Amino acid sequence: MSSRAIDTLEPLLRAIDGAASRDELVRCTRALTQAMPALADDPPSQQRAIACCLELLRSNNPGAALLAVKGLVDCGAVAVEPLLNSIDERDYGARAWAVRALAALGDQRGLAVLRRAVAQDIGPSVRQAAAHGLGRLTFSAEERSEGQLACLESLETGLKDEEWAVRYASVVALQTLMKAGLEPPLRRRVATLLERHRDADDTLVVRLRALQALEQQPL
Amino acid sequence: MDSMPIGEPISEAEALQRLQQRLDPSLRYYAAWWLGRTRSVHPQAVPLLIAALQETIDTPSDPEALYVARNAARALGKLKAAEAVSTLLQGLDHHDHDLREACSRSLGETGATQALGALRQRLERPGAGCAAQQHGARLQEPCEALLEAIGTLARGRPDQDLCAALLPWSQHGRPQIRSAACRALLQISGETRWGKTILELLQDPEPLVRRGALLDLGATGWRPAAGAIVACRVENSLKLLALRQLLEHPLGSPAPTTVGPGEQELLQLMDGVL
Repeated sequence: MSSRAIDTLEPLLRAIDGAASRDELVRCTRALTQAMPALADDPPSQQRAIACCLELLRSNNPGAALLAVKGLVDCGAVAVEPLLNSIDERDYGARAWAVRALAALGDQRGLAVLRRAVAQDIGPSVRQAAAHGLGRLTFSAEERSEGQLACLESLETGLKDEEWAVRYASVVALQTLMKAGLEPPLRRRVATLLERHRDADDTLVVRLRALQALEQQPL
Repeated sequence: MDSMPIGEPISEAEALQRLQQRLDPSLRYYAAWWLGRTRSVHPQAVPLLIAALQETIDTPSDPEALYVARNAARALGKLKAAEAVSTLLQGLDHHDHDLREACSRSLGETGATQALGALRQRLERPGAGCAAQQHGARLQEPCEALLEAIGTLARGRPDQDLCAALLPWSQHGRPQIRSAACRALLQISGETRWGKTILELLQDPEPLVRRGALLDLGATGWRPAAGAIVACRVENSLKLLALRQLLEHPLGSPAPTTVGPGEQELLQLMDGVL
C-alpha cells in the first residue's frame, strides 16, 4: 500500500515543482488534492502532500492556494499541527490562507490563531472566515466551557467590526454556538448580543440574520 | 470602490482640516475619500467636497485639483448629497473621463431623478460607445457608469421611450456594457428577459465579466437570480454581497419583525458562502 501511495505522489509533486505557468500550477494542484484522500493510509506520504500544500499557500497564486486549503481541510486533524507551525508573520498572504483552513477545520487547537485574526487581521475576508470558524470549533469536555467563553468574547469583537460581512459571520457563529449548547449564563449573554444587533445594527441583512437566529434558538 | 491605499486612521476633524488646507494635495485627496468612506454627517463635509469639485470645473487644467475632485465627486455620491446635484451635473461635462464617470455614478447614488435627461444626453452623444483610442480599454464616454446611473434613477418607472434608447446598448460589443444595459432595462421595465441575458454573462469565460454580471444582478434585486449567483465561478465575498442586495432590496428599512420564507432561503444561501 505505502509504496503505491509514493508511486502516486511522486509524479504529482514533481509536476507542481515543474509547473511553468499559473494555470498549470492550478491544474497540478487540483490533481494533487484529488489524490490526497487516498494517501490517508500512508502517513509519511500524507505529510509530504500536506507540506506541499503549505508551500502552495505561499505561492502567490490564489487559484492554487484555494485548492491547497481544500486539500488541507480534507485531511482533517492531521493537518492542524503543520498548519499552526507554518504560520509566518512576514507572509501575510500565506497566513490569511492558513487562517481560512483553520477556520474550516474546526479544531480547538486553532482557537488562538482565529481569535487573533478576528481582532487584528487587516483583511475583512480573513476576519470574516475566522469569526465564522469560531462558531464551529469542537472542544474536548474539559476545554469546553473555557473555550466557548473565549469564542464568545472574540465574537463580541467581531460584532463591533466595521465590515458588515464580519458582523454577519459573527451572528452566524453565535447561533452555531447556541445550537451546540451553552450554559445558561453564556446563552443569555449571546441572546443579549443578538438582540442588540437585531435592533440596532447599521446593516439590514445583519439585523435580519440576528432576528432569524433568535427565532430559531429561543431562550 | 471603497478601497484605497491604507492610510493612518484620522479623525473627522482632521479630515475636514486636511480638505480645507491648500499646501498638500495628497492630504486633500485622502481626506475627500475618507469623508465618503466614513459616511460623514458633519455639516461642513458636503460644502467642502462641493467646493473641491467646483475647483476643477472652474480650473480644468490643474491636474492636482482634478485628482482631489474625482474623490470629492465619489464621496458626494456616498453621502447622497442632494445639494451637490448641480455641481455633479457640471462635472458630467468635464474633459476628464474619470471625473465624468465618478459624477455619473454619484448622480445615481443621490437619487436625483432630474439628472436623468443629462445622463441620457451624455450617453447618446455620437461615438459615445466607441473606443476612445484604438485598442484602448476606455470608451469615449463612461457608458457603464451612465447606464448604471440611469437604471438606478429610472427604476420601477417603466418608460418606453427610455427603454428604446437603451436597447441598442444591450447589443454592444463589450459584455460589461451589455450587462449594464440589461441591468438598467430590468430595473426600469421589470421584464425578466433582461435578467436572463445577465445570467448568460455570469457564465462568461472572462472572470471580470462574470464579476460584473454578478454585481449587476445584485443591484437589480431580482431574486430569481439567487441560485445562479451561488453556483457561478466568482469569489464568495462578491456572492455574499450580491445576495445581500437581493435580500435587502425589496424590504427597505427598518427590518420586518419576522423573517419571511423568501428571506429565510436567501439567508441560508448567504450562510453557505461564508
